[in-house]
Amino acid sequence: MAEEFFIQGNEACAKGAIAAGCRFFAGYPITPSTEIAETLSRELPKVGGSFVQMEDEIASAGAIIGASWGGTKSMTATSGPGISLMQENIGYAFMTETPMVIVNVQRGSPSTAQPTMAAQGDMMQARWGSHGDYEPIALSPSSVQEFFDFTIKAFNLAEEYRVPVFVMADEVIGHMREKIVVGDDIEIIARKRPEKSDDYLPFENIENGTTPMPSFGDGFNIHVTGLTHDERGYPDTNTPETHDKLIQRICDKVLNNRDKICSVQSENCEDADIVIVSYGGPVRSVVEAVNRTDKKVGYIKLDTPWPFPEDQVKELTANAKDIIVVEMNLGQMYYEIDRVCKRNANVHLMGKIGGLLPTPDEILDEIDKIGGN
Amino acid sequence: MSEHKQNRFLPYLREDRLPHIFCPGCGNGAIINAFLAAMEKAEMDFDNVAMVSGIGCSSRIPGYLNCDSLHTTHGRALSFATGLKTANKDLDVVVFTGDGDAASIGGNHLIHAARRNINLTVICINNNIYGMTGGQISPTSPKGSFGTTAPYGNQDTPFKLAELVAAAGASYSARWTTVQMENLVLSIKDGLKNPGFSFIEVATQCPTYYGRKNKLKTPTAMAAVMKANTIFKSEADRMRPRDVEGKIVVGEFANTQRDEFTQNIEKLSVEKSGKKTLINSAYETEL
Amino acid sequence: MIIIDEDLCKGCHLCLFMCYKNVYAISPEVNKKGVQLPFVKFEERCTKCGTCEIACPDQAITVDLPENWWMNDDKDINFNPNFTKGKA
Repeated sequence: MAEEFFIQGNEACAKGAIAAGCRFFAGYPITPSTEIAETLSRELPKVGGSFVQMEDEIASAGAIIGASWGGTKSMTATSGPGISLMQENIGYAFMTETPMVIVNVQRGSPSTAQPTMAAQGDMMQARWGSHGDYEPIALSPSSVQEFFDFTIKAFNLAEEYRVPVFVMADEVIGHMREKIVVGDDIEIIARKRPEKSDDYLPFENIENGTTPMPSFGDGFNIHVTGLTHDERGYPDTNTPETHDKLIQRICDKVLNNRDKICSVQSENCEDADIVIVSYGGPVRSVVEAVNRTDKKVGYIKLDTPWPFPEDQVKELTANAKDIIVVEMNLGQMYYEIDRVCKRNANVHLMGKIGGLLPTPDEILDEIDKIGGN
Repeated sequence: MSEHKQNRFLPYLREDRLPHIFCPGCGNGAIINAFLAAMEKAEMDFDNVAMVSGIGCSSRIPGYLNCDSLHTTHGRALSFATGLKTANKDLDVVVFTGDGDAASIGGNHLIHAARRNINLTVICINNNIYGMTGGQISPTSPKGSFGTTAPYGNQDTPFKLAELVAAAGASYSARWTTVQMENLVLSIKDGLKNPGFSFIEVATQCPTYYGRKNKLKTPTAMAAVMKANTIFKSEADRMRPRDVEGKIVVGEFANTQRDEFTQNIEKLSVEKSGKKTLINSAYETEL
Repeated sequence: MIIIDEDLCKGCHLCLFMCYKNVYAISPEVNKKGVQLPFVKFEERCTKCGTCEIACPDQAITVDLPENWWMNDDKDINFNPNFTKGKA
């Protein structure tokens, strides 16, 4: 029996986390993500989970990695300034292939900027925030229902590929109240327990580019390190081949499974002259604008900004003359779309900062400015 | 002799990685032995021990011990350990950390872990210097000591870690040196048995960097100076503060019981859901 | 019986410093690693206290002790009572 709720985006995220099997949350209060921590501090003890308010975001990221190796699905939620602090440990999680979920309810940035206003300024930070080469997965919800669904999806992807997954919401989605429907057939992917054998290697390629992950105390006596390590997990920092093999595998496990991970939603793209590409909160205005205009305009909504759904976007914009990228920053995903589409279409940026969603009228004006028929 | 008798600590080590990277005369190896001896003395199950460490010479120790080990980012070992212990409170989590790791970059995590009184055993190996990066002064370098970033002598007053952690609320805090092996072993044993935050600071020698910079080039010279500079806490309490200055005061600084962090979480879980906090729940689809 | 593992010893000579019975001495020759190994010169002095075994940073010393000798006693054994007395 499906249940319906009228709740806030952040509460929906917390609900999704519990539904996905998250039983450990460590966080630090930060507007506009605090309601996620508040809700989980209330709900986790009711389902045998642990809530810890850590001393800062650095410690929060560390604690969820520790908890993940302790055998518990774990999550933290924060906003831009907190993500900046977490980057070191996020890099560590990529290097050690630790499944975990990081919710980023984006606010005006850089620095402290606009705590109570929406923005999408952390998209490139999610991609390149920590030092070095890695391939993140990021999901971008544009409704309360999607915030719930994507949180669950984030946990599933994290477990499947042993990778940290970002949920890139924004202040509008986090604080908006909408109806959500919680079905009773939610698909949950559990962590696979490796079989005990003498030749078990915790960091090799068995399936999806990775290996089933044991938890501490299972008797595998694994060594987990952020140093370049071989398949046993032992540090080997001076051999070029070891590093190359490790980093290639960490990147390839996401890139080679792009067709399974990436998802987009689109409408009217096949015969459209203008295609609007957007993600997160602004999609709501884009949909409205596309419905209102009488020109041949379609839209693409990126469910997974990272890994960038290159093939899908290329295919859907094959017939377009112009592409408008609508986002709440001064051009981040724009460059990625420009890279992919510039050979067959003109890519325009409609970046709006300041904290308010672009309105349908503004998008219609932009369409008129570009022309099309 | 019928068979080659083995060193009694070798079975606990990852023998395929020996000899370890520590310099000749480094105290870290001795502290491995002291920990293992203390663990035997506390009658703990080595298979149930999980080690966490940060970055630095001392933090390389878990890599040589044949148990689950997490070698984390600089200074953050205690936050990882907090997550690990909370997620699976049946594990005996031991944290190896250094003075730069625990007191400088991870100082905040240290005092907060002590405040929470979470059941961890922290062995802080204090060599007064950053060894891995080449001999820079650390927050515990004595005033006037030399390092590569203090060519004219350290101007700052050092931290007193064991006292700091005791003040932050740890239920067990002690300081010993590597020349008082017997006390160190007993102290680590007490720390392992203590159901709360246990902090054992071990003053140790770094002949390669601290020694060379401070005219104590051999491990034995460093050990001799350390031994000569050591006074017991009970004696120090009776001395004038200016006489204690520059000495290594050894002894227990806290040994009291109070509520433990993971117990409180468990109590809350039992109260709200009727069951204990779940362990290894990531492997289940139905919760 | 005291065994010194030549492969593991790095020649720090802390065993000489830690042994309060002066059992050890330094070999005048260097081995292939360039280490002047310690050797057991006065084994008859050894009280099997085990301090050198614990103090050896490289796990190179094995003192042939009865199995778990310090676990047998109920009370904590201060196995080197003469070593630290509060004063240097």
